[in-house]
Amino acid sequence: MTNKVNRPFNRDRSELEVEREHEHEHEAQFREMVGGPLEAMDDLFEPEVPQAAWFAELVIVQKKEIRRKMLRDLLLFWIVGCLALGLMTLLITQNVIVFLLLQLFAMAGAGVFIGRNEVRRVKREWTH
Amino acid sequence: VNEEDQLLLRLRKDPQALAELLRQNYMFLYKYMLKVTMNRTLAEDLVQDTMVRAIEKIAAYQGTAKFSTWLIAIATRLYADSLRKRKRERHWQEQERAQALRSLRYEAGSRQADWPEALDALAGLDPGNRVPILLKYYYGYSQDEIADWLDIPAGTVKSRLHNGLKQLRKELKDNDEQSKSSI
Repeated sequence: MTNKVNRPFNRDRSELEVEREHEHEHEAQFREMVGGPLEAMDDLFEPEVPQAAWFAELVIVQKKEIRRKMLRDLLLFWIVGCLALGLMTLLITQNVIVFLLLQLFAMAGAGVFIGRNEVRRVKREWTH
Repeated sequence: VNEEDQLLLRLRKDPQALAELLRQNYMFLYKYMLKVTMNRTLAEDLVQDTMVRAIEKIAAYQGTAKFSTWLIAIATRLYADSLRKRKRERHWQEQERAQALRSLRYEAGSRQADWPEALDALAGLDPGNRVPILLKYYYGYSQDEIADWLDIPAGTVKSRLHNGLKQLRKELKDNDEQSKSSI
């Protein structure tokens, strides 16, 4: 009853072997057609590898940049968090209905955002 | 324990170890990117972007795959992303690709080296087919790895391998027939 073709774990051993054989055959064909020229290309276009100091500098600079970004994000998070909490506290003490409406909008917004991302992800999986 | 393993052990705590690993893999990564893009400038840019991304994401490197494989994965994802972003500029992209190929051919000629038709045929493939073909048949990575890096289903990788190889065969056969008829 099950569809054997779509389930690799159900496939016959011989089926897998045939597939592997095809892969080897294709690889051999590819190597015969372009293998040599690609190796020659590797030898021909040797890049100038920068000095070790360049890599050390790159790592140091990037690590500093990551730290700077992290601190900035953390600061932003705290500022936004404090603002949101302050606003919520003000609303809950002044007007409960507006507070509830705002909560509802926030939840709906989050739902739309997650839904849209999911649709985009599925679409991308099927169209690529 | 070889030198690379020692560096891998010190990777997270010692920035020098990371710098040394990046230096050791620079050449390999550049050669991969050049074959994939067939464009020296783009290859250099992508190698540099890959190095920066690797430094940013080093905490995510588990050590389950080789460091070079991890770099190849990052580089492939970056290239695939850049292709997706520039999809609308296809016409401009084609011109840039043709120009880059001419300059590679010219550089080979200036060093008295051959530029075989096989490389032209490979460069003529759509990057969407060329990347899986190189990763699978030249570098020996699995279809699942390629699917993961390109963010496409494994079945799509399979069909791209099939189509790419078919196109490559046809292109080389046509070239062969043309050269025979001209003799």
